[in-house]
Amino acid sequence: MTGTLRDLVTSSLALMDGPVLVYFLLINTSYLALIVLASLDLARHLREVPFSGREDTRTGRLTPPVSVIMPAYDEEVGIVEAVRAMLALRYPHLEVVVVDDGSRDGTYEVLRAAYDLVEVPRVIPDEVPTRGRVLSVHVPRTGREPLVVVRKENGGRSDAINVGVNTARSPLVCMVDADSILDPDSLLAVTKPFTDDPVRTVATGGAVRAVNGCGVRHGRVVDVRMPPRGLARVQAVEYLRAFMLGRAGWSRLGALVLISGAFGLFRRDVLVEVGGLDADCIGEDFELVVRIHRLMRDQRRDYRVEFIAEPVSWTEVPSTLEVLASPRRRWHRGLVEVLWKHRRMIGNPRYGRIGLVALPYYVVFELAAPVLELAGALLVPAGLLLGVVDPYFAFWFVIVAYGYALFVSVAALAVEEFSFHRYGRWRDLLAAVEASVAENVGYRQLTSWWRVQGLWAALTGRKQVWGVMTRQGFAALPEDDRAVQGRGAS
Amino acid sequence: MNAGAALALATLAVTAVLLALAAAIVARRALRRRRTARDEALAEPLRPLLLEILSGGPSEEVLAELADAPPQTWAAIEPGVVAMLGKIRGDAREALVELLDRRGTAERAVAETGSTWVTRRAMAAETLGLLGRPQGTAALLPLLGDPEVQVRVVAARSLGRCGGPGAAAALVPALVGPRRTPSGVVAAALLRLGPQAHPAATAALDHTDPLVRVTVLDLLGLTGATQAAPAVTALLEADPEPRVRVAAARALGRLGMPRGIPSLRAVLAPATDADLLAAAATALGEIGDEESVDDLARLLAHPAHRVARAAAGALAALPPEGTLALEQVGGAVAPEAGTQVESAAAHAREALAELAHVRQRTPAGAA
Repeated sequence: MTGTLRDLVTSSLALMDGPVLVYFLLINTSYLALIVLASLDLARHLREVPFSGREDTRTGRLTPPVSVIMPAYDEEVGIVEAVRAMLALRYPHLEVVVVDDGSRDGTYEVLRAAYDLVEVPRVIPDEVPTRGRVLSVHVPRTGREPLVVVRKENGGRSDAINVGVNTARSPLVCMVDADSILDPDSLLAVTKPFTDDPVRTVATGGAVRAVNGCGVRHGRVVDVRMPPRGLARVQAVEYLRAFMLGRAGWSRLGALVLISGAFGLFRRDVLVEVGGLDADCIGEDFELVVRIHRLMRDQRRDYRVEFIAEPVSWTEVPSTLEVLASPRRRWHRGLVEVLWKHRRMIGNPRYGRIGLVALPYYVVFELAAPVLELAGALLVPAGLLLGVVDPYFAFWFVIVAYGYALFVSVAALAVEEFSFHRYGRWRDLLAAVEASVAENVGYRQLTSWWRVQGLWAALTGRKQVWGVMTRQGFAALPEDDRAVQGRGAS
Repeated sequence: MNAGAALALATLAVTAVLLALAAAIVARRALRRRRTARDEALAEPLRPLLLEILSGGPSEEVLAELADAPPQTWAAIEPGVVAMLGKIRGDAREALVELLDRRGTAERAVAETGSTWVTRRAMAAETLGLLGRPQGTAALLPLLGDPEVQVRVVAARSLGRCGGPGAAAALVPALVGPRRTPSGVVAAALLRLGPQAHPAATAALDHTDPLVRVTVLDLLGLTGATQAAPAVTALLEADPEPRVRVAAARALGRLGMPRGIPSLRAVLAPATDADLLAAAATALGEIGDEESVDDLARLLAHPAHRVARAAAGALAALPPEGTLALEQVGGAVAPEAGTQVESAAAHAREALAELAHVRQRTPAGAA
């Protein structure tokens, strides 16, 4: 038995050792390259802040109106404060559209009580296909707040957003999660490209950061801190490196294909043109942006999709392994679905940098990464135990796969420190460095396992199971000034 | 080099780079804190003087004291003072401009427009714009042809603030060409110039590029250039670009000129492009053309939501005939779901409800 295992490990390693080392070298180098590109972008952005003209956007007559769409499902605990925070954003022409997606709790009732809602006979067009029937539309009796609440039959997040797009009356539509906390100037910043270049700009995405551990007052993050717990802390560093700097790097390349559903701004007419979010696709945010690229390039239109690293949407990240596993499986499964759906674009020169760089990158370095990661993490220790791995190779593996990755994470922290430096305390800096180490020891391997499960589920066509969403909500906490503790979220 | 030595070297390299990064992070933070503390300490004694300026009535002594502040101290507060210009009005602004004049800020900015550094050219353009002096225009005009788009953007915005001869005439062509400036920036600058941009905008109505025609049409509409109504009407009637015709309809509505009514009514045919129909319907409501009520009422059943909604909005703006038409259409008894009659009735009821909602909120006696 031992002999068979030894033979298996030996032959696997003989086949993979060289390619695996090269693969890890390339993937970490690609992360580093994206961070370098992002740092160039951030440096330019910071240089331009004094003459960015943001104040003109706030006061300008040509600043385009924005409809913020908040899909809500069983959000009774935090929805009133979340809506209040959205209505208080610094933006001259704002409409907030809450889509109650058939909540089983008192989501609508608390909104009705807070804003004295009355039903109105509003006509919701069917410009974007939807599933769940709209039951009623409500607005505040006083008309003081630009708020619209749509009640509909349950159809899922994508369907709720699509109903929101149909309901929206503004030329720009901002998608946020019901528990997102936006910085006060977020909308001004993500709208800026639309104001400056309304003809070409079709979508912009904003940075998303982890809110766990931060101080929140009146729906605003007022004290930025690293999460108090290890798992959330690792994700805070991961969000910084992959979701903020990684996307800023892609944006700099002109090949941004992913805008987070937690904070994305789109031209409404373009959303109508592409048919809104695909309610059947698990990676709906990714799929939407890829579809927009596809439409624009098919029609040979001159367009821009941009990422703005400065404005921040704060979101709560899972603080338990059980809750974290579900979205990670789902994201990877969504990745498979999106790449398969748009396989015609991959490597196709017609789609420019999207077809020749971004999507092939996602195939090679996102889709395949967890399989090779897991293989390396299992085979190398097994080979060492069985005495079939050259210790030199094992050390090389650790240096290339983990030492280099640690360097990339610390480089991301350095970029953050040189640019936005939102984490002001020395202890947060130390916690971030610790999290960078922890990310490579255990966290990466675990997420790889979940991602492989997602890949397998996609290949075998298993039914997607959505995670359980449990929210404590800000309002339930006793003090106004408070730190967001870990809560479950899917 | 053998495998062991190479491995040791790689380990050493990774460790060294990690330590260097960590040291850079710590050094950056420490330096930033020190600089912030130094700037605050330098600015602290001048803060009450600046507050006095912002309160609107600074004495000559206050201005003189700030104007004579040591260069290092002034360097710590100047960026904040310049940025403040964009946020204040009236006497306080005039006093700040006076202070910046005494410190030679405008002269330095003019000189910096020729800098080889992109950031300096852009900042110089921003400063000249915030100062808002027509004299800044001459220095800003060449920057509209700057190789860097960010400099062109700031220059265009600042030209809108400074105004003066030649500003509008230079901004309109900046919309096109290899070194063009994004249209939103140019449109906002022209809008800020207001009536002084009318001659250049009117002259650009026959520009070959549709983007230019759309931009100047929006400008003329928003700034009430009634003298341009004939040319705008001509574009509505005959421009080959649909988006230009839409912009022309929009502009006529904003101008509120009855002479555009026949041309607007002429496009209210079912076969017309939906965007143009919606724009024409809205414009007729804005102008107040009661004779188009029947045509607008027919549009309530249009399959495109934006057309039906625009027609409903226009009818709501045309009391009493318009609201009467809405009541008649909206009162259709139990129409079959999904039919045009049902759709028209729904739009009519929506418009009436919104009208009632607005009336409910409007205090008695208010217009």
